[in-house]
Amino acid sequence: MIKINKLSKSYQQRGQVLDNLDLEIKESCSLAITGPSGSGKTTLLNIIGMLTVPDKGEVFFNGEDITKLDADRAAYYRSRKIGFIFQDHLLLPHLTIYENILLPLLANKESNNSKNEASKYALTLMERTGIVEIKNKFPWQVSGGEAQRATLVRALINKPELLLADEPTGSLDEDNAMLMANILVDLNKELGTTLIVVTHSENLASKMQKKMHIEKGVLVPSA
Amino acid sequence: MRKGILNIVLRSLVYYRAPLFYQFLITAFLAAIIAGSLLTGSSVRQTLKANTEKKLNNAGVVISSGLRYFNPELSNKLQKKINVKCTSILELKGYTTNFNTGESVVNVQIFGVWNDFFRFNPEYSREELAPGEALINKKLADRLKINIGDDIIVRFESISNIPLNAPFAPELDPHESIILTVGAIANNDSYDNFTLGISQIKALNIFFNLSDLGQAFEGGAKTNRMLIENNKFITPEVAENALKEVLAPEDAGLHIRKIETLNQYEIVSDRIFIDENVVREIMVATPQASPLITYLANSINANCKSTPYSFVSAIPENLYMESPQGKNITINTWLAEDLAAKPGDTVVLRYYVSDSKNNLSEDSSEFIVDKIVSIDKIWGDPNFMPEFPGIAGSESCSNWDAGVSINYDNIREKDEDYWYNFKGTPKAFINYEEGVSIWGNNFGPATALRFPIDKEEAEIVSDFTGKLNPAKLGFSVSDAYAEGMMAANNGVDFSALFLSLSFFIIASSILLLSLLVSSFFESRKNQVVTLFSLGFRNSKIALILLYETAFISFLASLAGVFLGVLFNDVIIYALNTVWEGAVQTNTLSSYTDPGMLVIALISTFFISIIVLLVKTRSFLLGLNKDKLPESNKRNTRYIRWLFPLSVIIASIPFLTTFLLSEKTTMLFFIGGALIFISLLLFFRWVIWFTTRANNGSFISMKKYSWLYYAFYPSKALSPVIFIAAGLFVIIITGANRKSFDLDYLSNQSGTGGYLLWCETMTPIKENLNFPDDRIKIGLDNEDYSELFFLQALKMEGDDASCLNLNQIAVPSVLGIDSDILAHSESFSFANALTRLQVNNPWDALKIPAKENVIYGIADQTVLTWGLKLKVGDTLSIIAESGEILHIVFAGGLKPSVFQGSVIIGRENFSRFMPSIAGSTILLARGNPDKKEVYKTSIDNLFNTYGINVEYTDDRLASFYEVTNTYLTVFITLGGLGMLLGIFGLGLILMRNIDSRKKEYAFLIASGFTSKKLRLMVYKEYLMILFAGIITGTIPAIIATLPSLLTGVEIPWTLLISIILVISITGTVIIIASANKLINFDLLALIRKD
Repeated sequence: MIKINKLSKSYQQRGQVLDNLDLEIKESCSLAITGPSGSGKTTLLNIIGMLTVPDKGEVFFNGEDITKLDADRAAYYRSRKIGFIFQDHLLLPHLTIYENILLPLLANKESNNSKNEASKYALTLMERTGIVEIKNKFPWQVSGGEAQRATLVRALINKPELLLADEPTGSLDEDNAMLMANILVDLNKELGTTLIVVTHSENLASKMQKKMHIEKGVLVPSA
Repeated sequence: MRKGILNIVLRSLVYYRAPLFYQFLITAFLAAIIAGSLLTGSSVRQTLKANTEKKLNNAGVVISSGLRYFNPELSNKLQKKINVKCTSILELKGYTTNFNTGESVVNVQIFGVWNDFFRFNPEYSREELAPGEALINKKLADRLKINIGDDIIVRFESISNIPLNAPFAPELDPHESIILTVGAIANNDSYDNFTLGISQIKALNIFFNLSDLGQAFEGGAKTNRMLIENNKFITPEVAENALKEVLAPEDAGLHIRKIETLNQYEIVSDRIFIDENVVREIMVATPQASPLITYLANSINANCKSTPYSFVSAIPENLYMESPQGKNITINTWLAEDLAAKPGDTVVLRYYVSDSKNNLSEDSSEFIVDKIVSIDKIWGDPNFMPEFPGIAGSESCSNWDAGVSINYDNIREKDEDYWYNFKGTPKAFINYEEGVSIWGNNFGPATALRFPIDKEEAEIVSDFTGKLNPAKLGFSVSDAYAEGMMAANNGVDFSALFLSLSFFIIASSILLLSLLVSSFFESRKNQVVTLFSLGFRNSKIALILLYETAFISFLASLAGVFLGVLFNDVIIYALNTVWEGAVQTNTLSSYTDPGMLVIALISTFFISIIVLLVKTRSFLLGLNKDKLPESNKRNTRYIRWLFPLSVIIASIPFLTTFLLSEKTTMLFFIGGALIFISLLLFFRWVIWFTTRANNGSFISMKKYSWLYYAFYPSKALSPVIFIAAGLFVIIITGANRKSFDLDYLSNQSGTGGYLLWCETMTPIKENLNFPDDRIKIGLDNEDYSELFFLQALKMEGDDASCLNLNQIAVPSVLGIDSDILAHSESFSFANALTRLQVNNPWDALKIPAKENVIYGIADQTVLTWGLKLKVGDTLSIIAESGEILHIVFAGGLKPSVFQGSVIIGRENFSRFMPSIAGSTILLARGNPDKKEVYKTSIDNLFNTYGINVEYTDDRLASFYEVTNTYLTVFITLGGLGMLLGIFGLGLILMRNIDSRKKEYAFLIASGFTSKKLRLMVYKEYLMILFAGIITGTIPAIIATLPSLLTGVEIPWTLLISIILVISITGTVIIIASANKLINFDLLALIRKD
């Protein structure tokens, strides 16, 4: 599903972070990427999510090189094919949890049927992740774990083929981190969504089908 | 440590130079506005002071004899006494005509001067004027379109020692004229600006040699003003004391003459009648002096016989031993024979009396003959008869010009014989007290004062020397220079005026400064948090922030005050040109007062420090607070019923107009203001309605935009309120321009229902509503049958209207028949004295003087701004006789044609200003359709009086022009302030956008295209901008609808331009802000590579 060829990225201050990196991920697979701070894990995730442009290399998404997409097409990919869980939950404080979850649907024109379906789907996911009780609460009225589960539901609302998660448990306590990790794994299995997780958490990484370590700009399989 | 902080501050200043530069700019701008406004006030004051210096021709103290004249030699005596230059001049008011073209100009100041006047001011010393030559000022030359060498006719009121309306004053032509050749034209010097009045408006001046007027006065030229060279040692007190020492009776028109037959001295006056004040003053100087009054009786009747036109003297008991007492009358043998009268007979005297308005009417009194005396010794003294100009010296009675109606048919041969043999020797004598009670009048209670027979002239002169109080003889001494300076200092405060007119600019600048500082502090958040975490106390952090910003504020304030000099130049230029209507002159100059610059510097610095302190405190408090979002305002349900309720409340004033149609203007204004509030609530309601809780539904793009503002309503409402309130005030102000509605000719309006306001240069003695007088004038035509005149007497004074920028102390005073105005309920009062038991404030003017206190009325504007007084306060002026007259204000009129003057009752006017012989102000009412005909006719019929006729609405408009110009200034500066506010709004939007950047970044990351995001931002902020414009404009238009419908001239072009500029600028700022947002790499905020 995702094929990356000779991907390189450098920053003025930090130098080369990705160096001719190659990677291939199959559909419905779950992959954990670990590595020390500044090793380029998030950069790799951002390039796959089209939030960062690589210096060189190719990233094929179902055969299409997404590094060459124009802005509109990239937006289409982001809204339809990719879901993203950020380190900060990025829930908008003036929207309820439910509204936050539905927000990505605004990126496209949806028919009424689709809207109704999406609404139902949101409720299903919320039920599945245990946050349906907080649907009408504001982000600042819920716990960190609940907020992070809400971002997971939001990332899945468009039924993406690929879910990118950047340190999804980084700001959670142990129990909530475990809960979140389990939900991620379960949903990956249930929905068949390809999952790439960038994490420092060995616990979370160990739950993924595949585990890779990034070092000196290239990915190596983890032990 | 302090050095350490300073080091941090300096490094911060360098590092944050870009944002601090904006703070510098706006603070400098604020300083420029404040300094410019203060300098404008100072410039106007300085200009007025400079004008005062120039216009007085080096005079300091001025001595005035008011409506009377004095011997010009008096200035020489005074000059010798005080050793400072003095010169006497004659000041008249009149009009002039270009001899060749017939072009006439009214309201001209005419000055008869001796040549020493031209050497009075060394700076502007000029060549002497030859007899027959005139020096005129440039302004007059331009109006007359005249050159040097051309001739002018100068016309003015007849000059006479005897008041024209005094009993037995001869029937003189009310005007005098002289033809002069223009010898020179004064330009930009003392003579160009010369005036003893207080006004910034340049007068129209003519100077001529006093010798040209010699023949107008019997016994040589006389003057009425004396200028004393400006000298710090010569105060009014010094001048008055010196005058007292040198003042001789002759200087005030009093003459000591010897009655040869009686070897006795008496004192008589050029004015015939001697003022009560003067009588008292003479009797204080020489207590043995006895007043007497000699009067012309139309007839003396007894025993069915009548003797026509005889003089009768009233003499006091202490003057002669044989003086009659009580109601007794002593008659001479000639009269006794003519009437066949004997002691004990009743004699009836018929005579004219001067009433309270100085009009003559016939009256009579009965006396009992006590004795019959032969025509010799005291009873044969022809000197009893005053020197009535039309009588004394006449060959026969038939030649008398007695100033009263004489039936010459009644004069017999024997009467002529008596006149031939005995001249004015009285035929009868009555007691002085009786005489005063029937003949005493506003002009005085005596025609002579006689001294004891043994009193020598030298003794009498000695009694008077240094004893006569100038004030009691009608002289007033004032420090014209100091008064001029004080008037300039206390005049219209343009500093305060322009500070208030610049309100929007100042408010916008402070708002902008506050926003800039907030933004700057926000950008320092991380640094401040770091300092805090390093153990810096809040107070120390505050000090660092304050040092940095205060330093910039000081530098900016310093630079700004110098920019203020430029702003002042611009305002002064505008006041001299496009805003001339506010100042009525184009002679204002810019002055840079260092004191004002310092005040502006301190004020701006102080304001900015307050802003910085508040912002620093709120910033640090904000940082320390637990950063939970504000409570959820989305579910605020009060708005659900508050908006509909406001609509109901707003409709009440409009519904009430059906009941109170006369209050329509006020009700619409209240209604408009309530609609303003309703629209704001509507805006809030729309936000609530669109985003109200509807759990489970899908959110649309439209709803998404509103959701933010539902949560943060102040972020949408604040800019809307700012724009709306600004526009509302500006439009309301624009529509508040003073103008006329269809009802401007109603009695209660500022015209009083009168069509024309006329002012003549010479007084009209006739009563223009009397048929006989109308025939005499030529107003008996059918066209004028509906024409009615209200005539007013006027004592000249300074213009107290809004056209005068100075604060004046002596306004012109009008004497009006208040019955006419009370009866027609003319004009409306803004304020009235409640303690008076009168039906109408006009009735207060009829209350007779009590201890020199009378009631007066003036426009409220004149009271508040011109005189700085209020209803119930007292204005003290000097009456003709030198007495102090206290005018208590019984009412303040709403803006009227009387603006500029103080109105008193006609009777009181004649009592205190008896020499003013006729009316110079005419208000004419009639058929409004004929007002053009009336104007043309009055112009022609009163041409020789030097009449200026204007429509009352034009006159009111000239006063309104000042207010309207101020309103235009306010709108213009308000518009600029709004524009600045729009930049502030842009800054708010930028901050809003900045605070939502992460949200926008997330939207992009979620698949929003740039175009979609851009459109969303455009829509949101344009909605705020136009909600503000609509909320401000529509209620303002509704509030001013009555004015709009009555044709008030509203500066639509200016207002629409302001709205357009605000719309365009706001749109450009919004688009620029949104584009800046889109061009920013938003994703960088969330990707954390």
